[in-house]
Amino acid sequence: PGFEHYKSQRNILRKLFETVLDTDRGEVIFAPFDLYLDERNAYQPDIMVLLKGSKAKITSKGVYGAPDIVVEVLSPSTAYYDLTEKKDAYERAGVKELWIVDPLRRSFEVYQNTEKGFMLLSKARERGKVRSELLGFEIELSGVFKGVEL
Amino acid sequence: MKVVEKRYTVEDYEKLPEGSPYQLIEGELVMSPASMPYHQMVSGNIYVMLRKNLGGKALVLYAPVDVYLSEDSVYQPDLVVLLSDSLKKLTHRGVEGAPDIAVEILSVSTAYYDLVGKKEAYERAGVKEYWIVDPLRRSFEVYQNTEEGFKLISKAKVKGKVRSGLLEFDMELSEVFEGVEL
Repeated sequence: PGFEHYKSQRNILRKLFETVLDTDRGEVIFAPFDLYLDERNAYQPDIMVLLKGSKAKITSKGVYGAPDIVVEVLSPSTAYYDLTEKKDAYERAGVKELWIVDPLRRSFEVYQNTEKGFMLLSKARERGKVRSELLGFEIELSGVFKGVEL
Repeated sequence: MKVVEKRYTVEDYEKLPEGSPYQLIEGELVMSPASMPYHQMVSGNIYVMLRKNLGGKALVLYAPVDVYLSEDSVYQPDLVVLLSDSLKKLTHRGVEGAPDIAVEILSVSTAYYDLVGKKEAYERAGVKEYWIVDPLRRSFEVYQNTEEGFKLISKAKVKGKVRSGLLEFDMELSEVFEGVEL
C-alpha cells in the first residue's frame, strides 16, 4: 500500500490508542496480525478493536473470532476484497462495526451490524466527521487524513 | 491497473488513439485490461436477456462504448440501457450524459472504481439504475437513484432473482451466470 494508506492508518491508530487503549477499554491491534474468522477465512485487517468482554480471543498466533471493530483502509488493488468478500465475512462472523476508509477519496464510512446485516451508520467525505456508536465518539476527517495530499 | 498521475480532461481523452483501453475517471486515465472470459459470458447473458425482454423498447449497448458524464469523467460501462426518451443522448462519439441504466461487471482489478468513484459519479449524473454484477461471488445488486442517492432495491447471491424497477422485470441468477463455474 502507498504512503497515504500508511498515514491514514497511523492517524486512526493514534485516536484509538488514546480512546481505547489508554483508557483501558480494550485492545487495539494493527496489521500484520492474523485474524481467524472461521475455517476458511484468515485475514489481516488494517486495524482491529477488541473491547473488554469481547468473545474473540487473542493468542500469540492471532485473534480468533470476530473483533468488535474492524478498520479497512482501501487501496485500489485490494478494494474488491475489502468491499465484497471480506465485508460479507465480517458481517456473518458478527463484527459489530466495520470502518471503511479511503485515503484516495478521503472518505470514511461506518457500518453497523444489525439484524439486516451491515447498515451505513455514518459517512463523510473530505471534511466533517463520522460517528462510532460502539465507541461513542466522533472522528474528524481532518485528523484522519492529516498529511494525506489529494 | 495502471494509473497515470495528472489531471486529465475530455480533451485529453479524445486525443487517445481509437480503441485505447482507457477510461477517464474523475480526472484519472485508468487502464482497463482485457476482461476475463467469465466477465464476457456474464455480459453476453445479460445482453441477451435484455434484448429478449425489451424488444424494441430500448437500446442496449455493450462495452466498449464511451459515456460522457462530465468534463473529467468518460466511462465505459459494461452495458448501458437507453430508453426511448434517452435515445437523443446517442451521438457519433458515444452517449452524452447519463444512460438510464449502467451495468458494471466486477473484476478484482477494477472493482475499486466500480464500487466507489464510478458509483458516485453515476449517482450524481442521474443514472436511474445501477446494476453491480459480481461473477466471482455470483451476486447481483440493483441500485435505484432516489432523492437520497442510490438505494439498494434488489439483491441476490448464488441463486434466486433480482428485479429491475425501471424495466419491470425479474432476472434469474441462473441465467445471468449461465456457464460460469464457481
